[in-house]
Amino acid sequence: MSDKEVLARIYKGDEKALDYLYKKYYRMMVNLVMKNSGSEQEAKDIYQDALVVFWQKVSSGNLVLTSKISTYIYSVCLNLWRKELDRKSRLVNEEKDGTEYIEDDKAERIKIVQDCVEELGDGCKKILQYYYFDGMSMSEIAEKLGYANTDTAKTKKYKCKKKLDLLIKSKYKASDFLD
Amino acid sequence: MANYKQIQNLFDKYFRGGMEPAEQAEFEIQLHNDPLMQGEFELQKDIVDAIKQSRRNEIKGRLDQLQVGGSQPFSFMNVAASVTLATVISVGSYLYFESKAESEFTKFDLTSYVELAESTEKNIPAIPEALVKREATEQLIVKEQTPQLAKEQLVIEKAKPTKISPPQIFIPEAPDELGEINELEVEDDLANNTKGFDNVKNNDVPSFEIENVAKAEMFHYQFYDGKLYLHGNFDGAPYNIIEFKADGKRKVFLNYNDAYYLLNLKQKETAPLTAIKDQNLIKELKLLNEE
Repeated sequence: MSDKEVLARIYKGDEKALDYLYKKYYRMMVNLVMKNSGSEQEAKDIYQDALVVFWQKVSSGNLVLTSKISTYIYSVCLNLWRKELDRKSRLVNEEKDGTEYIEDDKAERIKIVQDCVEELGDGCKKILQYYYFDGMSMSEIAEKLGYANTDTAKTKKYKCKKKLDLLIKSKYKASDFLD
Repeated sequence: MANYKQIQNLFDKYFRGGMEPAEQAEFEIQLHNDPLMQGEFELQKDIVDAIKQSRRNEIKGRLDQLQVGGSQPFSFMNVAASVTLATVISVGSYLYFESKAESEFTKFDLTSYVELAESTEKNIPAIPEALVKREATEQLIVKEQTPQLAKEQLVIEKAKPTKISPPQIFIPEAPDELGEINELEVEDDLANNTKGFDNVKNNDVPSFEIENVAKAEMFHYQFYDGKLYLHGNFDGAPYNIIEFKADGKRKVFLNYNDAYYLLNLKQKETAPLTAIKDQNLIKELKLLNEE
């Protein structure tokens, strides 16, 4: 499968094209992290994160690739691993200084919302994911999820989002989300 | 603050990066100046981040389920295990094949020895029965050096006390004038017995070495089984066989060393060669022999 074909298939939301890339470059990318003080699990996480970034950029139409896919993913892996090393280094310093780790609250709030998203059901979850993460247009979502037209997709998305907001606000006070 | 739908559309446009720079700057100023709007924005941002994160988790979960064949990263333990396994296999294979090779070699040696011994027995050319019978009472040592046997030597010993210079028999090629010589079948019986040796060099003139203890200096002959056997030392000069055929009768003469001998075709037992003394007959034989 050529790079051009992979890009075309990912743009259309074909997840099997991503599976293909994952297998193809697994060794190269994992070795990159492991040769730079990373564990096997860390290397795997970084590589998967890089592919997620690549998927999001391509599917949303925000990527103009001027190099080979492998070169791009390699750079993303390298940057993500540097960020992770910085984060770990910062975490060690914060523990030494006794500084409260601010991101813990953020992570907790995210977890609460995720639980609510799961309660919405698969249909609502998919349409919200495609809209906010994959960056799909309403016509693409309609096509992907088999809706009659774009307006149907818009209405469905609006209802799902409102339902999620109400669910979150009914379960948790606003103060739980505000610092 | 605008109604829910308007706010949601504004926030979605911002989260999806759809605002122009000027529109985005104005939006951020508005957020800064409106605490209620800012509170709602923070809530919506967390919700959008959570939705994105759930999608990331889904994709990563999908990738995690994929079997990446043979792509497990190297680790010290993996390498150590591989090296150990390879070493065990190598050493085991070496010992196994070394042992097998050794046993095969031993087996080969034994087989070769047996086969060599058998082939030596089989390859012994048969000694003319008549010759054996004739010398039954003699202490006879026969040494053959047939050209067909090349380097192989056959030695048949029958309790020989001493060696005496052996007489040689030269079997001539059939003379042209005796085209029927095949009927007489003057041939070297020992040479015939070595025909099976395809791998040895074949010479035109076979030679025999016979040691006759009792009568080495005497010349004898016999016809046995349709073949002429000459006994004695014939290495002094070449000899010829002259055969005459007329009215269904055959006469055979031997010419050796300027002497002519009449050979009796019915002589089955060994008999001494007696030179012809009839000068007329000798003269005629010489003329025929010179033609």
